[in-house]
Amino acid sequence: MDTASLHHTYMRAALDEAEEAYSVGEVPVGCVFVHNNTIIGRGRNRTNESLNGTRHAEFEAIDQILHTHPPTVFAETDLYVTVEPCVMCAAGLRILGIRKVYYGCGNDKFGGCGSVFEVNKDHVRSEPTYEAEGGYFREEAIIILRKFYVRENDHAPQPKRKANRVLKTDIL
Amino acid sequence: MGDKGSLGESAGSEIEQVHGDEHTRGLQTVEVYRTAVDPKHASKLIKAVCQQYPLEDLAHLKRVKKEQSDNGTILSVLLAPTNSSTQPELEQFLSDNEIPYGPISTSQVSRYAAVTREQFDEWKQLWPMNFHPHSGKENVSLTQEEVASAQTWMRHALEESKVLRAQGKIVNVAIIVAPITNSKIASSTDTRNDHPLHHAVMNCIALVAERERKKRESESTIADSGIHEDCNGELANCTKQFVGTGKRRKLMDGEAESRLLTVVNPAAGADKSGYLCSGLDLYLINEPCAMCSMALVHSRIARVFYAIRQCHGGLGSAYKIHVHPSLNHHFKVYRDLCKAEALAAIGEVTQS
Repeated sequence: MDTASLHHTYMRAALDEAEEAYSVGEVPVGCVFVHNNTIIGRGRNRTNESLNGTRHAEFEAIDQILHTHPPTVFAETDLYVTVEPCVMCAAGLRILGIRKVYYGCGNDKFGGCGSVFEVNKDHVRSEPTYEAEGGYFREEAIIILRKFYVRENDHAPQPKRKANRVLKTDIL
Repeated sequence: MGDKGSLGESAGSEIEQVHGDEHTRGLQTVEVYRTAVDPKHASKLIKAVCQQYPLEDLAHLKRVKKEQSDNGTILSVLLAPTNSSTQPELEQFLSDNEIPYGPISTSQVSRYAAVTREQFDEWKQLWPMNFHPHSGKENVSLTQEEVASAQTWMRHALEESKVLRAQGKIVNVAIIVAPITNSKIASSTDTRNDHPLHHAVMNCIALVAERERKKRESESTIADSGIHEDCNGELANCTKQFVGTGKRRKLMDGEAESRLLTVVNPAAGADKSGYLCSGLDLYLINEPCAMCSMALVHSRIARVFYAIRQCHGGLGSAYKIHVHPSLNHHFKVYRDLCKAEALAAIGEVTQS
């Protein structure tokens, strides 16, 4: 397969993870980690089920990988994630020495790879920097998030009633 | 840079609140058009300009400046920023509204709202401003009791750290505390040698979550066992809620914790109980890194106290993640708590 279709295959797999999150009422973000053209870890958001706000898709997959691989594997591993990693995940990936990150849509509220901070390549830490490149299945990544946010989130401290909300399908 | 408050006068503590940059910024100005107006036309003019030229991001400015002169009081009205209108446009607007006005001139006024009293006193000299000292950004001093309590918790952490140091382990300790009852919810050390992301904060947040999961499991088991005896359908749901509440009260009394602030202190917010780390405080020897700082945002922590700054730290040194405008949760951060003791305890070897 050529590079473009490989990217699509892996991002499709990340979107499948996001779909699963959506189906169980979690914020629909999903990811896969790819090493030597093999998916070595999959994850999706699990913050509601775990009652732990740090259980983002990336952390779920990283824990899975570290059960069977040494931490050095990340230097030759790429991440495909449906949404730009948040500041926490972006910083964690820097610590792990990830090779590259491909993401679907940007995250202007939390994003750590350029949106809010640039922890993937700023000079705060001495660990190697990494590139993060967005735009892979961006529309799909946005639509599934919108589908989620028009639903009511019973886990929020003060659930908002959203009966009048409509799903916007136009993408700028 | 945080400005030094008078937080910890007791016991030689150097504790300092870490504010956002808006606390330390100097005066920056923006140019506006103004005009003098006869007091008897003032209200008509103000009403018209407020409608046509709302102040928007200059809402901290007052519309009217009162000045005394030999001829009595002169009222000046702020018309609009010079970057959003022109003098001919404003003259036309005033004529159309049949408002007699004096010559239009320009003035420099403060671009930003003041968040400290000092900024307010200086900046209002240019043009009158509003000031809301309790808007949440103002320095809220800790009471002496709070400082004493914070020192006690930090010393607990430092005691634990001595053991770690003796064992040759990474020296950082996190303790999560319920401030309402002053009781420990969880504590943890840094285990990054087993897992590169298992910093003390991440471990501690995970423990709080695990504890809440277990509590909910035991509650639902007890509640369920009560229902099956005599209820079903809709009534069962009511009973379930009732039984659940009853059990909560018992746990509350027994464990004296604030995760269920609803019962102890309704003012603390009924909706927040047991939601992540809402209402809880964190004590940490070393300033958290960016990952851990953002994890605390996601966890809705209430306050963070740390002893030793780290050059790559996320709560004051390299970033100020706790007050970043785009993030959906802000919290208070106090640093340098028991700093001298901490440096002695950890032997000046610092880790995030």
